[in-house]
Amino acid sequence: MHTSAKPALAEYQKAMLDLLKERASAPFSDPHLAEVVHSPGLGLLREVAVWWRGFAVESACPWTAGLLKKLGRFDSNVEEFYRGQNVSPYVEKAGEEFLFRMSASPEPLVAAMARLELALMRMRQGSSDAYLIQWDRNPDDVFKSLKSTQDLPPAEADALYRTYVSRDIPGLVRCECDTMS
Amino acid sequence: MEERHLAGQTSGPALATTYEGNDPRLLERICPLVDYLEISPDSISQVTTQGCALNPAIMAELNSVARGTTFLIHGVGLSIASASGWSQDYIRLLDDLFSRLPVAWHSEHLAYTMVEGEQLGTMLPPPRTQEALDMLCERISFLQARYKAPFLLEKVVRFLPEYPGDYSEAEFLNTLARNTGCGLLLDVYNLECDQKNFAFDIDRFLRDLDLRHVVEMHLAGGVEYAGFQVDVHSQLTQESTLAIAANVLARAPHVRAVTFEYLKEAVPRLGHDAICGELQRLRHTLLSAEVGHAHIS
Repeated sequence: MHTSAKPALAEYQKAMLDLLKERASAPFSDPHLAEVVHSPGLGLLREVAVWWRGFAVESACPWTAGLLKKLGRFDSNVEEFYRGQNVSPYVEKAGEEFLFRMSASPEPLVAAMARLELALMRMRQGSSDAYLIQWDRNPDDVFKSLKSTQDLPPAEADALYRTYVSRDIPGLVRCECDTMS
Repeated sequence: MEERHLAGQTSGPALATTYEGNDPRLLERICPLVDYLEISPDSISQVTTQGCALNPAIMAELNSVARGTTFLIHGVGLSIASASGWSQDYIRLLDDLFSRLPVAWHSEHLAYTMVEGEQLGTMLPPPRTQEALDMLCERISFLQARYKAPFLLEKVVRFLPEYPGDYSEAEFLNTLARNTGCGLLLDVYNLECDQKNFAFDIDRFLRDLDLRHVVEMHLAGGVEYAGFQVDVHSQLTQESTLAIAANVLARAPHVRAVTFEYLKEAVPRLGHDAICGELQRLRHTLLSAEVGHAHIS
C-alpha cells in the first residue's frame, strides 16, 4: 500500500491530458507527474497519437494531405492539429475537423484545397449547399502535380480561378478562370 | 440468444478474429475459419448529423457475408476509467449493436481515452487506487445490468512510469472481477510489451492473477519502435507469445475464446492469405484437443 498524498483521479487525469497535449511542463509537485514529464514513454505516446491522427487525415482528406506532404508541412500541421484541439476518434470526423482548420490557413493554396475537399465531403454527407473556392493558380495543374512528381505550379498574379461545388452542377464541380489584363 | 458457431467448435476455447469492415472479401474468407468475429463499435460506426451511428454499409456486410456468426464486441472508446465521465456515444452504439446482432459477450480496455470530453488520442491505464476501483465497479455493474451478455475488461500496455497505486496489477484485476462478476480479457502480447518495456514479471503476474476470471485471450504481433515494444497489432503471432498463451490455456479453466487481433491498416501488408493461414495455425497449434491435453498433463 502506498500512503503518500496523491492527486484525486480527476485531477490526475487532467494533468495527464495536459502533459500529452504539451500544455503543461515541469516542475510538478506530484513526484509521479514529475517522473512522467521526463519519461521516454511520454514522447512515444505523443508520437503515436499524432501518427494515428495523420493516418486519419490521410484517409479522410487525401488531397489536402498530399498537398501538405508536397509542401513538407504535413507532419507539423498534424501535430499542431492534435495538440490544438479535441480531435474526434472517428476518421471521417477527424478529417472534417482537419479540413476546417486548414481552410483557415494563411497559405492560399492550402486553404483552397482544404475548402474544396471540405465542400466535397459535405456533398457526400448530403449537403444541398453551393460552395465557391477561389484559387491563385490553376487547380487542374495542382492536381496534376499531386498525382505526379512534378513541382506545384506557381501562383498566377494575373489570374483568378473559381471552383464551384454544387449538386446542381453535373459532376458536382465546375471551374472558371478570370484573367486580369 | 442462442450462439451459432461457424466452425462447429464444440469444446475447449473457440477461435475468433477481428474484423473492422469494408473488406468483404476478407470477411468471406475468415468466417469459415473462426467461431466468433470480434468487432469494435468504434471501427464500424461513423459520425452523422444525428451523432454517432453504426455504419450502414458495414452492418450490411455483417448481416450478409457474416450471417449466422456470433459476435464479440470489443470496444476502444468507452473510456470506462475516465473520472470526468465515460462515453455516452459508445453506450448508444452498444445499445444498437446488441439489438441488431447476436453477441456472446462484450469487452473494453481498462483505460481512459478522454478527459473532460477531450480525446487523448491514445489510451492510458488508470491509477490502481481505491477511488478508481470504486468508480470502475459502479460502471461495470451498470453495464451488467443494462446488457445480458457478460462483460470483460482487458489490461492495457503501459508506456509511462507506474503510478504508486493501492493495488498490484493482478490484485486490481482480481478485485474488479471478484466484486462485480465481470470477466477478464488477457492480451498475451500486451504482457510481452510490458515485459520488454518495464521488465514486467509475467510469471508472477500469472501466478497472482486469478485465472478463473479469464474468459478471452488476445493474440497479436507488433513491432519495436523508439526502444519500446508497441501494441500496434501489425504482425502475426510470435512463438514466444504462443508459448505464454499455451501456458495460460493450461491453467485458466474458463477461457472461451482466443482471438487473433490485427489492425485494418495492417491487412494490405499482411495479406488475406497470411491472415487465414494464421487462423488455421492457431487452431491447429493452440486449440486442438490434443494440444490442450498435452498442456494440462
